[in-house]
Formats: sequence, C-alpha cells, structure tokens
Amino acid sequence: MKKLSLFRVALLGLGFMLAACNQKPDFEYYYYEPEDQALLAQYLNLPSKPDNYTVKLPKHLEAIGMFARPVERDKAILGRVLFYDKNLSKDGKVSCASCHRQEIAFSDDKPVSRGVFDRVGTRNSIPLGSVLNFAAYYGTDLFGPSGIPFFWDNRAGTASEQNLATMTNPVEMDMNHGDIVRAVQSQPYYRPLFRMAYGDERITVERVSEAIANFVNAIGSYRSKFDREAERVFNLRPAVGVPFENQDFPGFTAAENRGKALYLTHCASCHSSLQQRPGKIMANNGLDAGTTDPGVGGITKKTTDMGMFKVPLLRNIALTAPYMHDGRFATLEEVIDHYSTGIQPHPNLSSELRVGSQPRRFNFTPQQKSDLIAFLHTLTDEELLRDEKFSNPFK
Amino acid sequence: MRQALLLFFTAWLMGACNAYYYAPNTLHTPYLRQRHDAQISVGGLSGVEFTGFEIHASYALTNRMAVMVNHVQLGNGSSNSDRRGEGRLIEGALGLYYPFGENASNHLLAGWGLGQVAHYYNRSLGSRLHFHRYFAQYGLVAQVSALRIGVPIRLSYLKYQGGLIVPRQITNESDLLKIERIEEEPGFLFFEAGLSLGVGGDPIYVNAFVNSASIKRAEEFGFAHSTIGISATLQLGQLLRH
Repeated sequence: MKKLSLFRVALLGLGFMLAACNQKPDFEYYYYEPEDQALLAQYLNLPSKPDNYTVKLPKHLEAIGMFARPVERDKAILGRVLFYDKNLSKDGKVSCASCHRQEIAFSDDKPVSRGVFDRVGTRNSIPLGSVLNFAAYYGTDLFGPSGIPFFWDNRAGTASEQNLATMTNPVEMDMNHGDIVRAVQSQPYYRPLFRMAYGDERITVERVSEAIANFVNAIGSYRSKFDREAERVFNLRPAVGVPFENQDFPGFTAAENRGKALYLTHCASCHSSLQQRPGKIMANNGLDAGTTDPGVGGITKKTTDMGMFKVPLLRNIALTAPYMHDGRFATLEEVIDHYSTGIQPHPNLSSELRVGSQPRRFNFTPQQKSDLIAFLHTLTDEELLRDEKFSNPFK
Repeated sequence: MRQALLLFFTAWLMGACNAYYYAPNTLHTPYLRQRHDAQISVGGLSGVEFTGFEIHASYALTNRMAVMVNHVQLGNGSSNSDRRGEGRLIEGALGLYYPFGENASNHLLAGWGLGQVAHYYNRSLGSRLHFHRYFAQYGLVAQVSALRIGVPIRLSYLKYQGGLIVPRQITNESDLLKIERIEEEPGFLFFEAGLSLGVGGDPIYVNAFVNSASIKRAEEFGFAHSTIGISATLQLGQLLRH
C-alpha cells in the first residue's frame, strides 16, 4: 500500500512536470510608464513588450559580407508610428504607408502613386520590401560614394534624406519642415515615444526623419523560399569553385530550378545572383528609344545618365506589380516579354542588353517564360507581409 | 604591473554588474543511515559576482524513505548601487536512501522547487522572473574518521513560469536580451554535479562545497556555471531518537 502511494505521488509529480514542459514563460512587459501606456493605448496598438528590430541574415548572405543595418529599437518604434501617421500630410489623408503597403511588400499597386489632394505622381512607388534592406550597400552615410542612393533617380543619399524629400514633395505629402514639427507636436502620443527614443520630448524634423529611417531600415526581406534554399545548399558546403547558387536547390520544383538557371544566366549580372547588391547602381533597360523621363540624368544633367534609373533587387517581385519606374507593365509576363523581344535602342541602353549597337533579343520560349516566373515567385517573403512589428499601429 | 592591477580591478568591478538569472545551489548530501536520522545545515554560498546563504534540512522518515528541504537566497550589489540583483529558491524532495558498509550511505531524491530572481536598476525594479525547478538527485556520502565526503549529481529541469519586465529601467541592454532568450526557451534540462568535504564529529560538521551546472550557452541566458559554499551541519539523529 505504501509502495503504491509513493508510486502515485511520483507519477503525479511527473505528470505535473510534463504538463509544464512545453509552455513558454509568460512574461509581462511594462515598456512605458503606466500613464504613458494609458495615453498610447487610446490611439495605438503598441505591444507592451518592445518589438525586436534586430535582423539576423541567413548564413549565405553573411558569408558574402551582407549585414543588417544598425537600427535603434526605440527610434524604430517611433518611426513605425510616423510611417503610418496621415497627420504628416497636408490634407491628413496620406502617410508613407499609403504608397508603401505592407501586404504587397511595401509597394503600391498603382502605376504611379497618388499623393495629397489626389495629386498624381510621376513614378512608381519603390517597394521597400524589395531591398534587402538597405542592409549591406544602401546609403551613402555608411558606404560613402559606393553606397547605393535612394529613389528611382538616386537623388537621396540616405533613408533620412529620402523620407524628408517625400514628406516635402508637393505632389506626395506637401509639408514643409514647420508643418511636420507642428503636426507631430499636435499629437499627444508622440510625447512618450520621443522621450523613449531621444530621452526628451523635443520634436525636430531631423528626429522625425531619423526615426522613420530607423523603421524603414529595419524592414528586411530575407526569409523567402529562395533564401531558405540558398542557405540550405550553402550549408552543405558545395565543392570549391562551384557557386552554390548555380546548383539545383532540392526544395525547388523543376520549373523553379530551370527558372533560376535562366535568371542566373540572363538577369543576375544586373539584379544580382543572391538578391544582395545589384550589379549596377543605375541602368537604362530600353523601355523607350528616346528619353521620356531623364531619371538620373535629370539630377546629374549628364547626357550619359539620361534615361538611367536605379536597378532594383527583385525580392517580392511577384507582389509588386505594376513594374518599371513608370509602372507601365501590369504583369511579370509583360516584363519578360519586354526583355525577350521588346528592348528599344536607347542611346544609353545597358551593355548587357545590347548586341553591338542593336538591342538584344533573348527570345525566351513560352516554357522559359513560365520557368522564369516560377522562379521569381520564390523571391516572396511571406513573413514580411505578416510581421506585426511593421504593421499599422493605429487603432 | 600597477597598470595591470588597475585593469584587473576595473574589469572585476565592471564584471560585478552582470545580471544572473540562475545559479546552482548546493547539492546537499544528507548522511542518513536509519530512521529518525536528521540534519540541519546553515551556510554561505558564493559565485563569481554574488553571495548568499543557504539552509538545508533532511530527515529519514523510515528506514528507507527520506525528505529534504533547501532554501537559498543570493544577491549582488547593494541597495545603494546602480544595479542590484537578488534571487531565492525553496525546494523540497522525497526519496529513498540506502546505507551500506560501516560509514556510507547513498540516496535518490526527487523534488520540486519554486524560485524567483529580481534585478534592480537605479533602485527601481527592472525584472522579476519566477521559475520552477524539478530535479532528481543521486548522492553518495561516506565518512572516514573525522572526514565526510559527499558526491552528488543532479538532473535538473529549470522552467521559467513568468515574470514582470520593465524594459525602460534596464540600463544594460544585454540584460534584456538575456531575458528575451530565456523567454524563447520552453525549459532547460541539464546536469549539475557537486563535491562536499566535511570535517568534524557528531553532532557538528563544517563542510565546504563546490557545485557546477552544465548548461548549454549559459552565458547567453545569464546563468552561472558554478558556486562554492561553506556550511555548518548539525546531526540531529541522536536527539530525535531519544
């Protein structure tokens, strides 16, 4: 009887222990002062535990020197609120997120975006989820002249310059520096957020743009099927001298692998093999025979830069239609048709797209087009689209 | 030389600011040989950057069954310093003991304990974590004239149940990272081993302990690898039997 009781006690203890085994700790975070928490809760859905904006890149990207940009957490949290705040526009109807929507990789589904008072922009919104993310090479603040600038015409050196130029663009948000400061000052929820980020409640344009830059710099797309497979093959340590990305990825379908091979042969010299740093900072891809939009040339005034535009990475490309700087192509099929048979003889046409003085004709077969599109779909990072810490915090 | 000494003390002082979220308590090895044998120990425990005290009691319920209760309280820093930490654990165990030979005994005990660890920054609470620890301990203790030697090994399962974190108070960001890593883990299963050496004669012994935990990536979680201790043990068997 005694033995049975002891056995029962032991069994009960074991059961109790096993029941507790797989539950994660229930930690409660009190990130803000209680009165600040109450104030913020009136307007915002911010977690009581601060979001972690630290990015850990896959090994295959770290191995080629990629690294996440340093991001200050409290500034990124403030930046998130600013990014989604429509008060930062003249008519109170436009925020950064209006043209950079998370569900489509922080892009816009219109050929050219519309700004305040329904004013029509001139270029397609660049998907923020298409740049990994400014991590290794974007920004002249870290990389000097070799850093890749921002905008289709590369006119801003840093993410701060970029967002300030957008807020003050008459077509986009149409604010001046004074307007921005007043708009932020008028909202009570910014007081605790600035205190957390900067130690005091002083609101300046520089702080506003720096905070948004911290948030934008934290938006990282690096968890696509392509990234997962690339890391997997990289970890298998392929033979020296054989680029691992050239091998078939075991988790890819046959069509995806064929599309990858085509991509590496025909597209990667500009758009990069691992979606890291584009092979070129700017290029003309023969959309038109003449210059309809000067692009980089409009900034530098150089004849050789006329019609040149930023070369984007293709991360999340399946989500970011319409395509090109003017959003002229509605589908990936149209884009591939352009490169297959539609390249025009612009004077500054990229050398990769020329054969002598004539535009190159890739003449992809229907099968090749379909394979390329299958591959491009592997560049979608679904997690980025659902990541709470990048979502709209307003109630 | 003077510079090297200065560097050493600076490093030591800075090191004293580390936050710990777990440290192995002493693996007591009760010397139980027959029903009503009992012992009580009171002593001090120390790690690299913290100190504390411990109380241990064990009792032979029958000629084979024993109970054990331990309490430990640890701390570092002072109430006036920028950073201060404190932790405590109380645990109980039930199991079997088996005397053999003239002066030896071994035991197998299983138990459960409740603990908490708190850290203060500028005199304000930064974090308070609650944990449970389940354990099974085997120990062998032998007495050779005035010398008593104990060799215990413990399989522990440490599980943080919950806690309260005030990130704005935590001035050292690495402390917050440690908490976040702990939060990600469902639990920690690891072995702990010890060695105790006692000197004396009935009813009083003075003991020295070394305790060590083999926890993977312990530094990332702010877990201490080892502690040392000293205690005075009072054997109560004779008294209780009379």
